[in-house]
Amino acid sequence: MTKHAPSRRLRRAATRLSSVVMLFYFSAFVLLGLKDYAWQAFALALAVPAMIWLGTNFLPRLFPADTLLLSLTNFLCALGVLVLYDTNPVYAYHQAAYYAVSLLAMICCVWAVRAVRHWGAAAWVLIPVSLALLAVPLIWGKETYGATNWIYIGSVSVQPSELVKVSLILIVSYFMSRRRFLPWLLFAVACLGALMLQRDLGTALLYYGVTLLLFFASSGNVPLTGLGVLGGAGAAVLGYRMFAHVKKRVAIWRNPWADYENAGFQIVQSLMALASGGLIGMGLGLGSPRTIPVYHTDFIFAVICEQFGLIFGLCVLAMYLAILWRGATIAMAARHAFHGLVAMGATLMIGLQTFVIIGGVIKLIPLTGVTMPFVSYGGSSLLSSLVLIGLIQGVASLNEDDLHEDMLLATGGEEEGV
Amino acid sequence: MKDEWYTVIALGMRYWFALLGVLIVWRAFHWLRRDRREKHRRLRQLPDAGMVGEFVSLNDAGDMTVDDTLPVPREGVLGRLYSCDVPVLSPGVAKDHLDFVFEDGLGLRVRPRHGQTCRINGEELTRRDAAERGVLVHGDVLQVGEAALRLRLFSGLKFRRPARKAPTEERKAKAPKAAPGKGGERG
Repeated sequence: MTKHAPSRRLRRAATRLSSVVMLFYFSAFVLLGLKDYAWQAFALALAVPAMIWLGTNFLPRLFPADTLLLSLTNFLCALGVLVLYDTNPVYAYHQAAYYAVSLLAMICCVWAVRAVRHWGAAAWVLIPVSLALLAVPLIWGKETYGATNWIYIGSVSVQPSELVKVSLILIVSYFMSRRRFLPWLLFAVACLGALMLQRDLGTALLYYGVTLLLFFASSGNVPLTGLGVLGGAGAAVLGYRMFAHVKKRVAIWRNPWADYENAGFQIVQSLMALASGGLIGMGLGLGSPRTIPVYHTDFIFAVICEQFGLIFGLCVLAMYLAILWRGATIAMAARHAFHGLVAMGATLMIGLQTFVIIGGVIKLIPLTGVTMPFVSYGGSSLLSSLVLIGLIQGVASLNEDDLHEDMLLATGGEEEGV
Repeated sequence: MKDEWYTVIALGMRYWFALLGVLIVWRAFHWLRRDRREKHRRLRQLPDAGMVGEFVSLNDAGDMTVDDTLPVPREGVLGRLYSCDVPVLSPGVAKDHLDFVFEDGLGLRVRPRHGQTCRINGEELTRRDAAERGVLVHGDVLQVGEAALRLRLFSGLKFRRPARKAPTEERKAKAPKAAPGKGGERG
């Protein structure tokens, strides 16, 4: 592993940002602690800022990490812990444990991107493994909220489609960078087929969207991409006609007030929470976040806006935007097509997922069953989100190595006499 | 703590959290802008960042004139389109003519697309024999269509000059050898 120590300018910027973040969480957890004099809250008031400090200042010493990306990711993950502690402390403890595991997975991912030279073999191994993972819920899965996309191993539940997201990006990026059309197309179609059978249409939308956008990024072929968009629209119409629950969701999206006590209850409660929060929120620990159905997963953004207000909600959106901007910059700076596509794919996945869930919560688009990256409760979701960040970080660290090499080459100059 | 006291403190802290949220976003975007300026500064210092060398045109062909230079990135596509990594606007060059990738210690490996050919130092190269002979090193001449391009690799890059046989010697080397004491093999 290369030892690129962060520059002084970078360390100053990281310190300034992380100190504000640490102050935010210290004051938030102390406030929650004052509510019930719960020692756990005071412990988190020290532990969370310490984790943020470690994550921002210590991890970059292990590998040439993009510190801004780390800082923003840490902030969003800790925000999930904070909001979950406010609503249900047990969820917060689980989330903190998932975060620790996911952080390790992220670091492993960075190492893998830097160390693996021959992704071809890995891609061919990942294809059957991923398809098998997607097939497992169809055989042993349990239906949850209309979709059969969970498997239960004892008390632990896993959503395989969250993990296959990562392998989708790797496989599609590899074959696209090699300009081999058929393998990635067949794989993507097989994944979509499995997800349709599971009735996990939200995840199918993400898979389709990311694959199409990656195709456009790799080929620049506007007509075929346009055809893909039309195909997606056609599939959406087909889904609407074939699946009753899709019709129901579209009807609820158009007018949730028509059946606000039953089918429209979720959206109505979410909209009322957003409105109740106003610009600066009802106050941390106040309000009624638990009246929102699935407040810990799909509607956690509504809880954030209710407690902290729309200004803070917009700040959270801006942080996602910053992550997307940074991810796209890293992808564009990659020297190899595969690495660029991997970083771009990971960025697009995070961006599309964020758009889909927040759009659903604020009734911009029909609600789908995806989670808010980094923030929503759930081990599978947090793991896949941080692994995606790990992919981007890995490519960022390779970019730093390449730039370092360029600077060395620049001192050599061109050969003469040709 | 009494609920009333907590409510008062929590209501007051709303402004604090909103302020910190805005401050975090401001710092993050400030960082992004500074990095962007730093990146542009570096690119000005390293105009060839990401490139391994350049092709120099040796003849006038189409829009290409003698001594025109085309920067060569580490990997990409050479073709007639502007969207190609190395656009060669000459007659006889296909839209996506060949793929290339720089291999450390070897040189610039080229692989013509289906149905395309090129010449390296006068020797024809097809897609089939690209794996064996399709490597360019510093000073080699690549002919695509009517364009003749000499490759200049940047100093510091490691490559190996392959021992190229004359065409007739290569054909002899490929011909099957007769087994001792037997007649020549058919085919």
